[in-house]
Amino acid sequence: MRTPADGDVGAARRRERVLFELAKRDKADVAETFRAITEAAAVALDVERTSIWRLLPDGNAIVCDDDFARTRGRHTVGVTLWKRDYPSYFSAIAENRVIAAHEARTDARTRELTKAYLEVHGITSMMDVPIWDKGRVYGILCHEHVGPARRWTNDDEAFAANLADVASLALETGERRTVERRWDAVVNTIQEAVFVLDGEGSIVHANPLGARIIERAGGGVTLAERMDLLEFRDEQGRVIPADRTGVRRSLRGEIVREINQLVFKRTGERRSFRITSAPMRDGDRIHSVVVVMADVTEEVAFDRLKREVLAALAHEFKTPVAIVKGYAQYMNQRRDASQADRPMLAAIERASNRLQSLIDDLVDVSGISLGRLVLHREPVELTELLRSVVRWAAPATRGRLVVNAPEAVAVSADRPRLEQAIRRLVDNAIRYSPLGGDVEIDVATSDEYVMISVRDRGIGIPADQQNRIFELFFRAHAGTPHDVGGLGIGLFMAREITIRHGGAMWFESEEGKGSTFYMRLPRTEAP
Amino acid sequence: MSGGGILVVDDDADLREFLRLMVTSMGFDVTCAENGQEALNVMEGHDPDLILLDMKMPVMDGWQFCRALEGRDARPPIVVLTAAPDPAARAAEVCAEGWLGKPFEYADLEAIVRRFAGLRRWNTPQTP
Repeated sequence: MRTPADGDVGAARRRERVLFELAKRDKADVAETFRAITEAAAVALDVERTSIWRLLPDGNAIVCDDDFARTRGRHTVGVTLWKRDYPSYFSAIAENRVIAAHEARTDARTRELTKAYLEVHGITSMMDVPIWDKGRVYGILCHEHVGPARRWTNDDEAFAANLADVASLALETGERRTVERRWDAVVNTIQEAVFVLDGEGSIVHANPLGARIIERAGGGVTLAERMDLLEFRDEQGRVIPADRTGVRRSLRGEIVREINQLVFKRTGERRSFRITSAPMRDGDRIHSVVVVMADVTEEVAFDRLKREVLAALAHEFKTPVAIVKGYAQYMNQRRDASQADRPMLAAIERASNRLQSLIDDLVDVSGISLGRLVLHREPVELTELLRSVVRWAAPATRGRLVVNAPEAVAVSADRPRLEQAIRRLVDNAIRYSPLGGDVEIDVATSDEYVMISVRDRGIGIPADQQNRIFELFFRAHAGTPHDVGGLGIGLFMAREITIRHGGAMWFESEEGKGSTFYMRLPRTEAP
Repeated sequence: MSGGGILVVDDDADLREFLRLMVTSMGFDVTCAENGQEALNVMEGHDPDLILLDMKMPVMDGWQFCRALEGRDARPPIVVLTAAPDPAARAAEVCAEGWLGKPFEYADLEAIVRRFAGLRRWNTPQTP
């Protein structure tokens, strides 16, 4: 027969053992861990019911995560108790301390529960311990005793607090695991290949798409192996030396974003990838590199095709337009052309001119986006150039076209291109001043710069469109009553030309009041 | 060998006929060829004062045609007709005397034809 002292020692050992077993187990599944805690607590503390309750964020209710009834050996979930029904009990919970109610049915903190809960289950004593999660109370671990009322000992309270700590740990692990699982799901399903490389450049992790690329290459986990199986080329197809690949540069600390062609040496296949690689640091040491690769082969091919077709199309348009325009001009100049025919011939000529300028725009845009804009710089007399722009624009102007410029201002520029850029600004100023209004062209000079501003008092640019105004094919007033047509390339062109000259372009605009566009050019070519 | 007049080389029949009409109306004799090879054949028995030359043509293009003329002591001046975005660069590539970007103005065509017709280019230095 055991002495009470032995029994206490036995119980203490049992409790230690329970805590040890709970601490050891995998806590990824929170609900499962909660079930294990309630079962173990019921046995180790020798109580009839043990339950875990979650306190809702507003503190107005507790919801049962798990309730274990020992004699029936059953778990239940989901019961809710409301603060409005048990205000004193909820105030006690809000104190975030252990509630050790030896006489639960008379204890001020718990007696509200008597009719609806304690009597129903025959409960006489109860002990609640707060469960903490990230510095806040998550809920309570609740122990309920049936039979003659029981005095909770300090050991009981300490043990219950330990169990509540296990529950906290389970919450933390569970959350981390949820985040990890969510992250894994993202990495495994995204349309990019993801690799994690160690500090030597060996692959330590690859998502399924990444694994497929490795497979296609025929293996290659270490950097050296990969360089044997793959050849890295830049967008133009030039071989990238082994020490200049994105991974190598990232191993040296650089964040690299570029499009590479990968040649799979085994099969000779060549595909384009947009590769982003970034170093991950631990202090000064780079311990790994993350590489994200998207297959952009079709995109790259289509983009090139698009630009080449655009250029070829524009080229093919020119000969037919030359014939139409040429005959119209020729016939209109003949002395025997009838008075009835002349306006028609003139209209054909104007239409051809419009077609021609559209074609020129397309050629220019495709040339610029293919990187083929070559400037032929020469000394240009700006005031004279502005006079030429004004002559060109005069027929379309509804208000006055005013130039305020010094007598002679010389800049080093590609004259036709510069004139084209300024024409764009003036043309826009006139187009978007439907009620007339003056257009002013001002020239200001300093030792280094010339600044040309074109100001109108037209409809202005809506504030929410302003940051896109220089985008290719963007038209701020498309589909509005102010839509005056066009392709949306004028400002793109004007700014590109300005930038290629080493200058800058910006604007100020207010809807309903007008816009001012500024073009700043260096006076001499940058060395 | 007959001499003078303008040789129009272009693979587009309508543009060729248009140029024939225009240049004839300026008072010049016009001979036409569809491509560089045909132009070389024409030049076997005829020595034009000026060649209006398209660049992109089947059989023999403008570049090949100009290379074929390089070996000669002299050749007529060449005005390149091109739809390329940078006609001046095209002209420079083949050492042509002038260029006209398509589509062109009647007035520009007349000016350039009158300016170059008859200005023979000598590939070897002339001895007085």
